[in-house]
Amino acid sequence: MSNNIFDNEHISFLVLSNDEKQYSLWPESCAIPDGWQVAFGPHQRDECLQWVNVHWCDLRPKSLQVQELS
Amino acid sequence: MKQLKGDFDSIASLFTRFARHVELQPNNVAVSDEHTTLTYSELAQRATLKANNLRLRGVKPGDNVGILLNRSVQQVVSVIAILQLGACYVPIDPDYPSERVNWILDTAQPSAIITTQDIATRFALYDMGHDKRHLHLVSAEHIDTELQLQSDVSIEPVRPNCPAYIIFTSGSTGKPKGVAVGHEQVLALLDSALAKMDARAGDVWTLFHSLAFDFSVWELWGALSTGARLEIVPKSIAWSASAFSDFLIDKGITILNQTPSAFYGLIDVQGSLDNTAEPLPLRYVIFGGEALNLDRLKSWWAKYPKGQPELVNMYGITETTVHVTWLTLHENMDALQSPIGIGLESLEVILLNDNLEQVQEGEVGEIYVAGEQLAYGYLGRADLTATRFVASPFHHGKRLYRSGDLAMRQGSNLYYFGRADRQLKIRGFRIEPAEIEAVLISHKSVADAFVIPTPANKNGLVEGLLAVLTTKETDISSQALKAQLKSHIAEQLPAHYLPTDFLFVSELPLTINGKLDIALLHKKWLSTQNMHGTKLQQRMQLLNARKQQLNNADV
Repeated sequence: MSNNIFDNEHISFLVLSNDEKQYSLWPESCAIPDGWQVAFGPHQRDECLQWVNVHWCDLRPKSLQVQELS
Repeated sequence: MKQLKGDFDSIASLFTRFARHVELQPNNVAVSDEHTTLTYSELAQRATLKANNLRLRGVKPGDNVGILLNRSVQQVVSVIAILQLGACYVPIDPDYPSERVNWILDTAQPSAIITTQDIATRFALYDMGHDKRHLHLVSAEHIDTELQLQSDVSIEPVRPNCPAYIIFTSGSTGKPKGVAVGHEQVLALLDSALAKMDARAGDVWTLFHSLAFDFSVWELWGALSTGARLEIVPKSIAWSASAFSDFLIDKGITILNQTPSAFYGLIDVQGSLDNTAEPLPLRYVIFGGEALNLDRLKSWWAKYPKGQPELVNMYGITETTVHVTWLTLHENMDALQSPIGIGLESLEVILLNDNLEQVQEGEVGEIYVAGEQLAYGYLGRADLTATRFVASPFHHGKRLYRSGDLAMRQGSNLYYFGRADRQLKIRGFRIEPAEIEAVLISHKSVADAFVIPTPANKNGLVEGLLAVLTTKETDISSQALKAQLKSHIAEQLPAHYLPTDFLFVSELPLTINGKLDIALLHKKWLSTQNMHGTKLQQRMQLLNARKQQLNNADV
């Protein structure tokens, strides 16, 4: 694995989401980027990823999913 | 026959880009292979019939449809038919071993597979269709019968709301991962990259690469979205540089996309011809898929000065839709560096350090990509998607793709600096060593396994993989074990994953930094090669000369 902060299993993470209902792992120590909200956490990396797997079932951006319904 | 009706102009999709040229120039050749040539009109007609055929078998917009075909115009007919229906194509290379084919089918859950009887039998797809998956196998062979049976079919244009394709790439967890890419991402690529070229309807492109390698997306749609002709390169010709050189002349190829490894072979062939030989008709050569060694272009420049044809280097990633950067090459570039140019207009390349801060000019950072070409994510892997496609601190509510590649910016130009992790590129194939290690460790006699690149060759290229193994107590000889491991790998992974050789060690040697000592392993391996009669002295010289490459591989 790389030294990238997103791969660090010793720090705590958040799960963020945006208006397109896309999710991102996010290091708790970093400022939350504009346009993103906390959906879960802070927790350990594994727990965050498990949460994502349960709650993010459709990878398409929300705008495409809405199109399907209309 | 009515083929295309409805309001195509208001729908932005790959299919409508193609349909535009069906109306503009129905009688121009769109695609040909060894046996068949189809005009834009004929291609549209066959695709519409195939789309209708799929629809009758229950395929709906949003479904995944597998394409398991050898090189032929049928591949192109199938891609267009699937997209015309508003479904998503999942290319699967028939050269893959059945375990990988099954993995892709299990993951993508296609509602139909377009294939031939031979291939379906080889992969036992009939059994699956009846017992497990209710797959519809759609024959690619009976198209002429279809043409006679159905003469008045039309398909209403569909606004796509699913990925255009899902391409599986090597995954570090030991299983391939499916990258789901939408129409809007491919359209953004075409708009930004084609704007840098003078691509015309009179151009002739090759389809050189497997549909399962995303370089083919650019070849296919570069041609069909500009009204150009696409020549499918038969496998036997793709494998022979001299046959391919003749093919380029015979077919009048003007736009060629190549991995550097494949192109070096063509350079050698061109170098061996005398000055009376007919020059290649190329206008553009576009490199992608792996790092380019500028040194290797020297004899090319002697024969073909800049602009005749234009040589372009493009760095790219499947997750950001084929290409990311563009660099027009010229003879006087510094061969010690690996320049990749500037980002395409539809995206932004940002170099960050480990704290997610932008690095200064001249500093090495990891490549993050923002913009319109980011894929949706990895099929069925929301967790992995959330770790690689991450919130951007620089773009409101948007994501960045974290590439794992390192680069430096100097002025406006980017220079490639290798991988931040262990991913390798061998002859353009993206390989996660961990995927092979997982298979090796699953063998009963293997205790631990580590896959590293073989020492670079005289061109600075890494051509193969070396599997370093520690074994459990076993009675079998190392030769017998090698043979077992080869077939063990061949059963589960594509041919390009097979290591060149296996090196058995009592323990894995580490450097003082605690990293695997790759240089020492290379020495050990070369000494075993020497015992088998190869020239160690010569190899060691190459090894030293290419120390830089080894260092890069050890990042």
